[in-house]
Amino acid sequence: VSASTSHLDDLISAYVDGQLSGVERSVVDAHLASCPACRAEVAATEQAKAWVSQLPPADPPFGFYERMLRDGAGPSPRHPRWVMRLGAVSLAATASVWFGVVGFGTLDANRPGGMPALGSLFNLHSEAKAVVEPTDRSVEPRAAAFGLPPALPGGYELTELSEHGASEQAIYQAEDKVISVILTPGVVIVNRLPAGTLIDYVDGHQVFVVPWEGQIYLVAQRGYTVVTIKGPEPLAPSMTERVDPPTPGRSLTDRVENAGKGLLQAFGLG
Amino acid sequence: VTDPPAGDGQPSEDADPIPTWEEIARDHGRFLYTVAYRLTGNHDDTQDLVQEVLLRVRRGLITFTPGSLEGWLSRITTNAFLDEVRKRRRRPLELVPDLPDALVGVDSDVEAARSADRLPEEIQTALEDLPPDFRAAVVLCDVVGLDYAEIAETLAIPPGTVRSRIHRGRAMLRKALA
Repeated sequence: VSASTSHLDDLISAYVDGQLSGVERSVVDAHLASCPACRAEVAATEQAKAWVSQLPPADPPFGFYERMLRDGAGPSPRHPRWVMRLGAVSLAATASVWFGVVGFGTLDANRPGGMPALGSLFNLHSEAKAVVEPTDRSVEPRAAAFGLPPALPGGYELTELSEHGASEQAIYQAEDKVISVILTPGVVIVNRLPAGTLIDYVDGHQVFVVPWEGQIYLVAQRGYTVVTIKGPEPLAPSMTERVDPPTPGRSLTDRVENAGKGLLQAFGLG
Repeated sequence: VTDPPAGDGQPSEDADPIPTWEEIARDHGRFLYTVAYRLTGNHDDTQDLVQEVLLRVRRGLITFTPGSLEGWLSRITTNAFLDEVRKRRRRPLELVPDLPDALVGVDSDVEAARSADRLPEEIQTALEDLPPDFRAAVVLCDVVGLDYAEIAETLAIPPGTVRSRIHRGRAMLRKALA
């Protein structure tokens, strides 16, 4: 360590943790005596250490260990326990408040291989607000709050639910195919929809079929949540035509414009 | 990552006996759960991780080394966590596309509600955003309280790497929580 030629870098954490040798510590002390920047760095590092070390203990749910000990080895790791729990909770808690299972219009009948019935993704809770309760980050209540199903037709299972900024992302996997569902609080800003956006209706709600950077996304407004779905493979052009057959004399921009008005009215926002 | 030493699953004669998982659950259940939660950041993965740790203990894959039982549990937990992280990395990863941000206006009330998160959740979130190897080093240091030599042994990395991972991990936390 050369206190005279450089600042302290990762010696600072070791200093804060009391992990330096006597010689190193002397060198650091000497440097700190004459370097306000490094003294501030020490204080900030102590703060960062305190943040983590003072976090409260995390308590297991009531009866967690008892159940585990009673059940022995538990389920196979191939079927993560939380997915199964989620299924049970969803069935028990949401029967009376979900939208019915809906088809995806003409899409379902013609979906390409590997594409599940996307309509089943739209069984969203009618009251979903998409504001994640910040004190509970576990999958089960968050997924249940959004009404995300534990599985999709075609062998897709919900494997992950994670936060990305303001968005929640659910990942469904089947074999090597992946479908992403992204839930974002807010409203679709219709005039930002790219050219080529098409419209379909699911259970009376409008859905945008959005081309974006070479892929097709499905975007829908549900309450105050924007639902974005990225499928395992792009929709074939023939399918998007079936969603919204070209109307002579009507440009894509017109269609998006009209869709926007309908969307806003449908949710009392227009 | 392996849990050293594997051996034949039986403790040597002069080693302390492997604690039963009933004993671990009873005497160290909260500690184990806390370490697992700080590593994974959510209760579902935490419960899977705790289960995996207890299975490893029960299978006798890990010989109990005399010393701190909590240090020993931390090592098993961290290794099981990093094993799972590496397993997941082999799967196709899907990232959130830019689409929602580009299309969606976020309500200011929603923003305000989110910014009012309580501090422990903010810290946990920042912790989760650390790369797993850095997170493991920080958790072993600041949650478990291991010294750098113990962390180096647990993670099978040189002491200098421990030092830099902890420092860089803390720097990332500071940036995230600034």
